[in-house]
Amino acid sequence: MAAASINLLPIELSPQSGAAKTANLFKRIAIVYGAIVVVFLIGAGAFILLMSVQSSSIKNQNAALTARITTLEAAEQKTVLIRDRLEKIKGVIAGSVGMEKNLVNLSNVISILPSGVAIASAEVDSTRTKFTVSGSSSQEIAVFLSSLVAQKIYPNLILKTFSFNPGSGYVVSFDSLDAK
Amino acid sequence: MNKNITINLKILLMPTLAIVVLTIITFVFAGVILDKINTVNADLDALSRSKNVLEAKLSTLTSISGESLTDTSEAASIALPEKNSALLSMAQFRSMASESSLVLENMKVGSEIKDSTTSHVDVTFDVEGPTEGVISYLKSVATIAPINKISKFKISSSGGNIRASVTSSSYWSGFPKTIPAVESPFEPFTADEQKLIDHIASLRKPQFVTLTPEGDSGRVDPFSL
Repeated sequence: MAAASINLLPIELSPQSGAAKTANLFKRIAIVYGAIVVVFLIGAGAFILLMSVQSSSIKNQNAALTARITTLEAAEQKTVLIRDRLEKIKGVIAGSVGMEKNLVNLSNVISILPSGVAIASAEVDSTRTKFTVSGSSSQEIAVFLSSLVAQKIYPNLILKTFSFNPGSGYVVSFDSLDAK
Repeated sequence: MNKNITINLKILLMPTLAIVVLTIITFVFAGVILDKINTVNADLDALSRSKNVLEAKLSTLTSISGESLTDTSEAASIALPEKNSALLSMAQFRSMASESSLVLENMKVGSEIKDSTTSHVDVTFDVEGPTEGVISYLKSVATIAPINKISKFKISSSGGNIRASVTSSSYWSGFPKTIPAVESPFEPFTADEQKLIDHIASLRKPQFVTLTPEGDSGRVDPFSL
């Protein structure tokens, strides 16, 4: 025997069909919404938990790495010392480039001195070279001057004085600073 | 009519209330949860970055630590000592002059001059000998440890020889007092640094003489004949 649906409420106490439909829709929305909220809360909680576990694991790994690095502290100290020295030495070396270049240039000048011509004096600092050569014959001096020009040791060089006296012969002085 | 409205409202009240409550829960908790997720995420990022730094540091330190690092640190400490390097430089100048058979005279040391990161003293001296020998000597000043820099020199001819009056600056600098935090990144030496290390290693080091203490010889009896 099929169950019959009997509404014993008086008609005036029954809700209107539109209101009942809306209430039904709201119920469904509330249920779906509630389910979404619950899923979101559980998902978020699980995500936070997972990340916290992961974070804790990395923390432990970092602690182990730190402990191993501490055992190599001596090596780190040496490296810090080396880096400190290198930085400062680099500064000193950078400041000596001009002098080294001028010294090499003077050395090159001396290497092209022909026999009979000698370096009489020189004054060298990081920015300037002054030197004087002396020779007994004008021919030797000419050979030196010709070599000096040919070798292009100095991009610019001023011949400051050219003198002769019977005692010391020909004396020629140069200055590299005024030429710059 | 009024009864009907009340009944309609009653059946709508519960689901509406549920939706409102859920909406409030969503707004309140979503803010808190998203904040928490952001915080945990940032922490995890920071820890991961720190882990990478530590791993790289450990790997570099393991690969470079050893005898060569000790040698390099010693060479660097001799090249730029912690304290006044004038005596070491003077010893080097004398030793070089002696080896090249040059005459070294009038050696004087000036007072300390502090630069921004280093200190130096000017060592002045005269060196005399054959032209090539003196020039070679002047060039080799750049190849000694402690680091020296010739600031100026004057050459004058003296018989068949030349005499150079040299002013050279001898440098030193205090050692660093602290090392960076364990978590700070650590880079291996760059190519430029390695080149400078090679240069430092090639510098002529001063000869240190270690004197061993003599043992007790006992008291000599001055009255025994």
